[in-house]
Amino acid sequence: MKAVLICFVVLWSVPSDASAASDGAARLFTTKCSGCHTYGKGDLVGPDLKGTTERYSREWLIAWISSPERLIQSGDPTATALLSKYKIVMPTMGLSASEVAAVLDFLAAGGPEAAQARDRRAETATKDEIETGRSLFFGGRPLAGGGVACSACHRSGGTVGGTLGPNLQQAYSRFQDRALASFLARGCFPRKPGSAMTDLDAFAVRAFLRQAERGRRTADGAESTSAR
Amino acid sequence: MNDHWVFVVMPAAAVALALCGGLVRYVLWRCQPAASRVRAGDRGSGGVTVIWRLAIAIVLIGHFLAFAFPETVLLWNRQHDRLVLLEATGLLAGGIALAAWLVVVVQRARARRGARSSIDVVAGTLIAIEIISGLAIAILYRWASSWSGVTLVPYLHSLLQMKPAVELVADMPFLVRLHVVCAFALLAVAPYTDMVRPVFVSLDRVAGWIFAPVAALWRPTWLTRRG
Repeated sequence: MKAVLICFVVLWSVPSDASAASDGAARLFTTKCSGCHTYGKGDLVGPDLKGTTERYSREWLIAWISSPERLIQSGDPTATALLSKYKIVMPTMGLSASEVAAVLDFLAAGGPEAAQARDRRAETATKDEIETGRSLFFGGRPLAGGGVACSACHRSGGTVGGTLGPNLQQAYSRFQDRALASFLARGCFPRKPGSAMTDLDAFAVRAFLRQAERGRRTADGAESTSAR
Repeated sequence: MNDHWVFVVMPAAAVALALCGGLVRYVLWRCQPAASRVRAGDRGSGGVTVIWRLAIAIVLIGHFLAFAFPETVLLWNRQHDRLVLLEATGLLAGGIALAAWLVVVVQRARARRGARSSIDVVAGTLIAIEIISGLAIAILYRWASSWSGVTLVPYLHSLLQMKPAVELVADMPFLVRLHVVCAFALLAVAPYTDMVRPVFVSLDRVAGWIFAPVAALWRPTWLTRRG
């Protein structure tokens, strides 16, 4: 049983294709974008890139990153507006189509904030983040990846949840941050493609699972003390 | 390989059998004299049959909605009370369907009304397996209306798109796979049973409503004149 458990942890800890691609995109962001742009820290030479994938269409962003100069020359109103606001033409970065797509996916999935969330330990979560995790677990808040809430298949302790998958009451203490983060990024069973959790959502769920487990332990301890 | 046969080849064969069998049976049924098309049993044989048909209709409509509008069902289920309401309705309808089905079977066995063909017995057994496995899934693997939205429904959609995603169903618990397999088996045999007669009667009635105005247009005027 122990060997099986160790195998699971090892398998889950191996970076998935998705996280490897995300690492590559993070490197691209650092080397190619972060010199002129921030993510969520305001405008620099160019605009803050947080929310950029929601503000502009993917087609437009691909055309813009591939060749900003060509888009400005074509008289595109958005490109012209950006030029008049920042007074500088963004250089052509020489990225391949797959690299542009990877960077856009990286930004859409939460950018460097998400990458930080993947490496962050659940014990550093704030109350708000734990509450977000609870809400994501029970479906009160939709997952950014569009997947179904954890409680469709799982419970956590005595909570009301699905029974298709195992009870996750000891998932955190068993697998800890790294294995859980990797596992949540790839999805816990074969399901609709593209419905795996984003790193930010996965961090909040990890934080909730940890908190729920600790809360239960505390409650159990209090009960046994009062029984004595 | 086995999964491929069970979850790709079998559904395709079931649909082909259902379409061909259904069409041939309907044409043969239409060729019969109008008086002999409808049997007493097709109109229902008492309250229990009505209850059975209502309950199974609710279950089937629920399954259809989950298949056709998975996103809407998942959105509905985001509120726990609504999820419980949906699941409880399905469970209740399934329970009533099972009870009514048992009563109908016992009534027919006691009345010895017409010896059933072996295909009817097979279909009846499949229905029983479907209802019992469905109820067991609802009880043992709670919130099927939610988890099926990202597993079974995409699997069915993948079949329709001719890009079968077998992995979405192959790793499911035995009861779930049994439910899926028996549903396809039932689809394959249903057109060859007496079960389709009420469907044909309803289909004929609907076709009558739809085509009556068109037929009236083509009717010679002297037929519509009186006196």
